[in-house]
Amino acid sequence: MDYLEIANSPSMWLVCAPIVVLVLAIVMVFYKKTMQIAEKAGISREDCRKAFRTGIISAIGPSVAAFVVMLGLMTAVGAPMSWMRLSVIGNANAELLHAGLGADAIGQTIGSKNYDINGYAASVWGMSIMSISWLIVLIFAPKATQIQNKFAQKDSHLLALVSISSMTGIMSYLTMQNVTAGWDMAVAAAAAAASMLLLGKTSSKLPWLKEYHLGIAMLLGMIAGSVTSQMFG
Amino acid sequence: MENKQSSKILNNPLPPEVYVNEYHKPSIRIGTVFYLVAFVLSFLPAVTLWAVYDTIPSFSQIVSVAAAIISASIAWWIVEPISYFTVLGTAGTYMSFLVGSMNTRIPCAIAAQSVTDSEPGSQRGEIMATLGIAGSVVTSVVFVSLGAVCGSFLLGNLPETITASFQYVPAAMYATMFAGTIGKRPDLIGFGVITALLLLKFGVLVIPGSLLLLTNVVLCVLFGLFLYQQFHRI
Repeated sequence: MDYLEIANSPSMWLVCAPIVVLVLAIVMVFYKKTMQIAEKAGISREDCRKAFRTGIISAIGPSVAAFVVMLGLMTAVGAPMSWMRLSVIGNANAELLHAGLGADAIGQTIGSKNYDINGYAASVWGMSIMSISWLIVLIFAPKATQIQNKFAQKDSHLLALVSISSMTGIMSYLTMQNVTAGWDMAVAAAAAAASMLLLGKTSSKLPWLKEYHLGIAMLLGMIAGSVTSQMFG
Repeated sequence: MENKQSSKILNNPLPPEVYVNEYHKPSIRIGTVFYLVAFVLSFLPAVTLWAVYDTIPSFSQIVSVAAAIISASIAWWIVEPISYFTVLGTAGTYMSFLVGSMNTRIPCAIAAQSVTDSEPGSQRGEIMATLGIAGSVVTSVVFVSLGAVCGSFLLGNLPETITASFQYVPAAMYATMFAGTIGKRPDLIGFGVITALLLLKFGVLVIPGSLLLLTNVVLCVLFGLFLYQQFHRI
């Protein structure tokens, strides 16, 4: 029997589903909890909904991009495992690497002729082992919260300062990493940044458009990058 | 200007104890329960293959896979939560690391804050970032599910120029956030760009790749603290 028949079988769909449901459940629980505390803090429901909608809209671009990489994973390990693994931890390239490492351990190569049900099982183990990283977050998050709150009690300026400084550290590093990866990347980044700044000018006249700024700027960046690579690539 | 900014930050709507007891502590409890359940559930397919189809790698093979994956990734597993925690907040950290793709979570957290004019590091800022992350997770799950059900069909029908353009998403995404932050603290962003370029050009020769981002974050925080101490800049 071809391993893909098993990999795409109803029973695999069934056992991959619970974790996807769990992800939606944690979002619902945290959404509710956050809305409660927001209400207590006197923050308007309208603002909260706006933040939630902005998250929904802004994630469309990268989610569609992830879609493209997903196909490679699906042809290798079938749809159900891809569905499950990309709903958690969610990086198709890393998953493909882990699936490959799993197959490698029993002397098989993903995508090659000798890759069979045993290789597939080893790949599934390889991808599942990635979940160990959650244990680190389990230990880390409560500690970090504690430290952060001690900071905040001492001087609330400090917490704001550390937040904005970390943010600029992340932003500048990731942007420069992409900008230095090639001319087309640099043009895509520059076009997206310029669009964002220009869109920012419209926010007093068109406040409703604000939630779409990130999406629009990203789209313009993608177009600029593609045009550059078509013209000079 | 400085006074206005600082009063906004200090003006957290809830007393810290209330906020911690009614938001952070329940978030930690919720996160812990969900993570433990998710951990068990994530091995369900592997166990099913063993129970139903009688295929399982030998114990030593599983150990060797685990060793390869853990040694390749452990540095990231430790560095990423530290680097991103202050941006994501407590509940946001639990959601983001369960679902992954920080490339999506961080921008959505920041976008949600900026759309609602919320200061990072304030209670309002954390609440808005958490809601932004929650929204982004919904989108991710919807698209991944669509992809699983009809991905090969959809992708087969997309022209190549469109699929190729998705490689620019990360560059464009970070640049938009960069543009969003530059007006707030041009001094910090300028410093971050210089250190980032130095790290990418020279730091990469001496510092392990997994520590480069964290190094840049630490340098920016130190510079921010220095400016605060010397000039009381917030």
